[in-house]
Amino acid sequence: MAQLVTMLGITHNPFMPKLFQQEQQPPGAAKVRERIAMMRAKLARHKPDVLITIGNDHLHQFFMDNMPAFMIGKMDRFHGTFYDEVREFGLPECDLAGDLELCNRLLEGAYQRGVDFAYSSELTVDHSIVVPMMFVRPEMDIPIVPILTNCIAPPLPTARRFYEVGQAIRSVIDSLPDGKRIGVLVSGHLSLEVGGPKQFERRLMDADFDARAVGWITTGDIDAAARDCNLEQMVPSGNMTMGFLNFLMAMGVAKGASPTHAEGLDAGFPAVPFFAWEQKEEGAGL
Amino acid sequence: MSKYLVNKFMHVVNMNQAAEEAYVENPPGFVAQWEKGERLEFTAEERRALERRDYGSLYAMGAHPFLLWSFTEAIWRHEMDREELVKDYKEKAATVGYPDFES
Repeated sequence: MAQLVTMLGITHNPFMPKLFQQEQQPPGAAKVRERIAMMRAKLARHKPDVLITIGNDHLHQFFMDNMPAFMIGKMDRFHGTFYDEVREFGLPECDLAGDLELCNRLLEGAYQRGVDFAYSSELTVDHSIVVPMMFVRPEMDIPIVPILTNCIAPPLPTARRFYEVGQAIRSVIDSLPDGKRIGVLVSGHLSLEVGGPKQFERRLMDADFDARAVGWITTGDIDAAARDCNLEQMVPSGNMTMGFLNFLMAMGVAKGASPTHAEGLDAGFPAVPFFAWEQKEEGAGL
Repeated sequence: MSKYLVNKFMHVVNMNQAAEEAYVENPPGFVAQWEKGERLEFTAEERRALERRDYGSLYAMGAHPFLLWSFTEAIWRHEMDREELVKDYKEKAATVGYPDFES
């Protein structure tokens, strides 16, 4: 039987890798780096053979000429990232091994469970996958199966649907006959604005939303999250707050288990999310 | 409002250095040439905003804000200091708030 050994939820802020290399860093940066190191240690401790990496494409591979709600990367190697992200964020291009067998099992297993993923055999991943990997596994030596979501081009799938897709992913993982140790790495954010009148402000965009969001994750309260996470409600918290929806998929994967760590870190930026679910003992589930 | 085509234009320019350079060198020429190859058309207002690299108007018309910022950064970075650009962009966006950006 395959086992889900850990699931981590983390920021994909694309400015952070470059920021962390600068000599002069804002006061909160050290706290963020400390949490990232903690998450990296958690991942190493649980020794996953493969990572299902969940994040939202940022109008790179996804575009409105043909917009999927949820997509799996069906390849044995993935390139990251795109020209504009190298230019704007200084992100490195990278090459990540894939796990085609797990991809195919997830794809077919999800169809059987009522979730119809799109798939791509020519997928380049952007900062939603590259940055979390740089943070928690800079060696980039664990194969990935990327799952990309649409959190950016309305209309979006519902909050509850993100959760249900997570439940389907978990159900497939739990049914896999092989002995793989599976990790899940989810990226997203809390309240955030990009390209609007409040962008790049070094403060929490909406402390109330952040606190409620961390609360939903902590208690597994999908009903409250589904009630408060539609587009019209989230935009006033910051026009890109919808990137939080990825963490509702994580809640679905967790199947009601409480996280071992749940935090929206106030480090003098928009809140930096850190979530973890971990096996308490070998073979125990999360 | 053909927001979709404006977003497509920004997507192409943002993700391709050659397109970015050609656009910045001659905005009206590049816009005209590019539009010729498309089945959809810009409105006169959209075309004018793109010819002028007018991010304030594009924001007000409901261009996708995530894409618009990245595009704006790409096409103005050689002529405007980043901080000044961020400030001006935010001020212009603030005058109209949060237009619907669904395309």
